[in-house]
Amino acid sequence: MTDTPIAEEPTPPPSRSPWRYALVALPLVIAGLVFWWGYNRAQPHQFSGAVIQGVSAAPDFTLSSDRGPVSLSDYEGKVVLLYFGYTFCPDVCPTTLFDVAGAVEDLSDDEAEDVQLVFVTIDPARDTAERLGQYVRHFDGRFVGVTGTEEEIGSVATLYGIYYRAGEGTEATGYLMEHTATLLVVDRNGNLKLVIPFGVQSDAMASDIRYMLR
Amino acid sequence: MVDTAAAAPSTTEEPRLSKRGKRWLIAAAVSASLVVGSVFAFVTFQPIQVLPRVRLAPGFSLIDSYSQIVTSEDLRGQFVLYSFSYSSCETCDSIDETMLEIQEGLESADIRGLPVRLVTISVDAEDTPATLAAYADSIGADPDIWTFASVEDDRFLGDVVAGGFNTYFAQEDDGSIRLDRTFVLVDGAGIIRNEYKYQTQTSDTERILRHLGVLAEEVENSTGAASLAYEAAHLFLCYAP
Amino acid sequence: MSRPLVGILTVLALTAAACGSDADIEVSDVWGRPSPAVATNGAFYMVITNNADTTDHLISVASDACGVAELHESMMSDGVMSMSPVDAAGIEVPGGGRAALEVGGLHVMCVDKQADFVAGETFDLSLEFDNAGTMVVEAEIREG
Repeated sequence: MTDTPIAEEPTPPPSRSPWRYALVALPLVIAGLVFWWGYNRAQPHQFSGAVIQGVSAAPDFTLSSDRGPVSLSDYEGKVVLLYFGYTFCPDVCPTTLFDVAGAVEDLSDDEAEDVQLVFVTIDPARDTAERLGQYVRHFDGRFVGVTGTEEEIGSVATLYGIYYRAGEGTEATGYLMEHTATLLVVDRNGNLKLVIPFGVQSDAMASDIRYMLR
Repeated sequence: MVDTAAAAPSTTEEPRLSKRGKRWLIAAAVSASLVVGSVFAFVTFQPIQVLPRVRLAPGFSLIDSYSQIVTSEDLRGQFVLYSFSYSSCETCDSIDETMLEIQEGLESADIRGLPVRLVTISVDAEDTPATLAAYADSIGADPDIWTFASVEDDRFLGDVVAGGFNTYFAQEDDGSIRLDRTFVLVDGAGIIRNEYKYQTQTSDTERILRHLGVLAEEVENSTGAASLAYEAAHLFLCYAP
Repeated sequence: MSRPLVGILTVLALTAAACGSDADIEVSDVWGRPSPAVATNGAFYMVITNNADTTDHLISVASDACGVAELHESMMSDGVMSMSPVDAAGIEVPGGGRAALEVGGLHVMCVDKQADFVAGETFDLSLEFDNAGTMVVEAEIREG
């Protein structure tokens, strides 16, 4: 690249060998390589959400699914994706689950083995364990949906930075929930590591998950 | 960068083109060495300091001294400094003092015009908007900056304060409340960036204001090439003391 | 200008005028996502183009596939997602502009699904516009 201008020169003085330029250009190349190395080091992986550097153990919880009690600690050694939503939600929640299912699909079978999605309802009054189970398994047979008492759910949501509230609705819909729509990722060591906002596509999620599985 | 520097001579029509070209090359080589040098200098001297993303702040719904609901989501998009207290507290003077100093210090602090909120969460379930309003008034809190609130649903007081903000408090048998002195700094994405629990030699006020500046600088440089340097600072653990 | 050309232009202009009244509103890309049988509600998305000069409004939607169909909007503010019914005026489609009903935004909320939303299935939606009147469009169930 740096040779181009030299090549374009109309009549280079004969006394100057091009090698002298090469000598000067060499540090440039080295600098380029060092910069590239530094750049790659500084950007090992571009996560699609906010990365938490602090080592903060994700709070454990035990809630119930239609196939028995589920604790976060059951999935030790796996990457756990936590999503707080409700089955009445027609737009945002199914979209997120659909994207997560797509991400899991992208992974190899071995990788997918080590990933678990847990859908925590924020509407325990309407979402029974049975309903949740059937709901999440529609997206991926491995997904788990859990519920609990209003107090249990409130407590777990608080600790995971999730705010929710029953908002207005219509006669037909009943109340609708407003809720923090982030997807939380717990790494294999049980630390809450990544907060993915709504709207991240499944391939970006897959690449994050794959990175965390390494 | 290298390209343009080296290509420049070819655009000027001069007889001593090659000599100029050589000078350009040398200049480029020197600047390249500077780049290499500065990468090492960066790692060694840590010119950019950042605050680590410690963990997720809790999600909550509060009622403030104006009986308005304030949720963790309402507080997104700004820096929030939390403190914990209650209106009948007799030992909270030093906490309130520090908050007050920060409220006043914000005017002259280098936070690049970014919004900062102070939020004091009451750990006393007995507190009402009225008692909190009187409390705020007695301290001299500026309502535009400093909000006093209690957790809307008492059942989650412990989860918010002790669980989420990691601040110890307990109701004693005689009804009094024991409370740890803690300040928690949360960024616009709802992530805790620092906790101030133990008195260091520097005053909390000074550190917190300086840290707000560090955060503001990072937010200002959160796009483009500068963001790389900041990610590097996170990676090389260039944490502000 | 030659006579035949004038003739052709006149015919074209008349045809355009005749078609104009029902081509004012065009609805395309009508779809919904497959949703679990157990989910009571579903959503439909579409793009509405208004070829007229004046603003029109999508006031209501009805479908045999839904107990009730309502116009809703998901709103994202700083990470928190809330959903609320669109007000009585409906969804505005500006003259010469378009309105997109899309994931994470405006959508038709299909309350109390009457059928399974399985990929490949199609449902008729009857859309009622303020000016353009009622039209029936076909929604396809597909994955994204």
